[in-house]
Amino acid sequence: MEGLQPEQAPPLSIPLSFFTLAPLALVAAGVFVAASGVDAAASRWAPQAMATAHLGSLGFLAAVMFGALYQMIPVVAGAPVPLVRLAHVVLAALVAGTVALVWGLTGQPTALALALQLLGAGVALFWLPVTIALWRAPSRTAPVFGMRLAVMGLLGVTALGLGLVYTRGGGPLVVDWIGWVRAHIGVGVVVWVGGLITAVSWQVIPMFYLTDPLPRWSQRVTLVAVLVSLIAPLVALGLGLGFVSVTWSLLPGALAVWLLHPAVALRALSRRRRRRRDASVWFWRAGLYCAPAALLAGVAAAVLHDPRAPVLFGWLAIWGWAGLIVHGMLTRIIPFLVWFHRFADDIGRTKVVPMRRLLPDRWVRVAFVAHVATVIVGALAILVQWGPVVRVAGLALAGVGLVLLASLIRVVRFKSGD
Amino acid sequence: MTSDPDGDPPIVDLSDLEPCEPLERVLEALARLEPGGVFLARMPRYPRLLPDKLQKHRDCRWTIEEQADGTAIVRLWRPAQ
Repeated sequence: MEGLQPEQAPPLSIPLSFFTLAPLALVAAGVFVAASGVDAAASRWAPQAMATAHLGSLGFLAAVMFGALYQMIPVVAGAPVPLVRLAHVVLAALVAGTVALVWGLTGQPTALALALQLLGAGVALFWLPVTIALWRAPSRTAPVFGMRLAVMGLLGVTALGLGLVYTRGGGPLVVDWIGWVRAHIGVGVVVWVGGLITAVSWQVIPMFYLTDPLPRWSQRVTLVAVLVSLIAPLVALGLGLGFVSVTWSLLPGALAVWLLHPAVALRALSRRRRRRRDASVWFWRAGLYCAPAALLAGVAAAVLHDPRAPVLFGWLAIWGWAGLIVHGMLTRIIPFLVWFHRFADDIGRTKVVPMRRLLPDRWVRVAFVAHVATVIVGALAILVQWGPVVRVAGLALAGVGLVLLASLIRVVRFKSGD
Repeated sequence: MTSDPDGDPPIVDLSDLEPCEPLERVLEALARLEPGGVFLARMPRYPRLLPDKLQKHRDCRWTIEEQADGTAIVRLWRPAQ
């Protein structure tokens, strides 16, 4: 096995620029929810709710996941991403496409055509080089298989989403609207987000927190279940089996991602070999505890006619389960990358700042409390459907974004010699 | 620490350290290494990012061997002048 050649690893600017988008999207989503009030929590079909969900799924989650994949594929899979500098174009398309989508959903339908082109082009320019790298990768480990599945899920959720945007803009593509929407949400959350979170966790939980590896059988079961939930909804849609079949075809992956994975990951985290105080573990734990709640809300959304259930599911899945885990990982990955690129070469020549000084644990604890409180207030706001509480949840979400932004600025401002 | 049968110094076990401490320890050891000196360390896993840093030290040699248990042994030496 070979080490990385210097030219294989992406420059620091690539993951960092994607990670910088995350707090900005959190602030934007929070301000948007606060301004919209109860309209953002009333129904999944409300334009404000759809816009908020996409600020979270594209501006926050996808931005971090794109940046993380550019960074992790060479390190974990051992294969460089070709044409990696295209990432700057991808980022621009992702930002502009997300803004156009939110604008199109909330008031200017002609912006949907622009969103269609920008997001389609941005995802394609990301997906192709990343997929080539993952298929060329010499490593054959479960995390690499999980990443491959996740990027196939990205292709699926994007194609389904672009079909919905095209139809909403006047195109005649989608026949089974509800089935298509459920496949879009399910493939996006279970396969793309869930596939990547589980795959990355198999690598980073033992590495960052010194636990035993997560059980191989659970990795295999998760891979198979997520694969089923990638293929089955598309087959059900293609065969015209109706939205009920589409919904239940997502269940294997949902059970693996929101029940099995949290159980084995929480068990591993409870057996850390070195119990150093580390608030990023709290983010993992809270996110993993949120997973079964998201599953319950998802099942409620599928079987009940209560319009609050799908909104609660979206809130818990995006800002709770995935949001907490992604936020926690950022608090570990950003200091590591900055330290590695700026300080590691100075070791032995001068006194080097310890990595943990770049982002002290008390900052991460503040972020954790703010994020968990936001998830709880937001869930309550959706259940009680009271405008002032929704506005408080929105402001709290914006506050989480500001805390993350301040943390990121602090870390990035550290220079060699500080 | 465990001894090496070839007369090399003991292997420093870094396999229970969190990132980026193993990398830090290896680079610190490299900075202290005298001509003719050898340093051996067990890393928690194959350190893909380490070669990037080691290549910048042209006066040292190194090998990394992945072990069956997933750890990796790093061997650094500075040729005698």
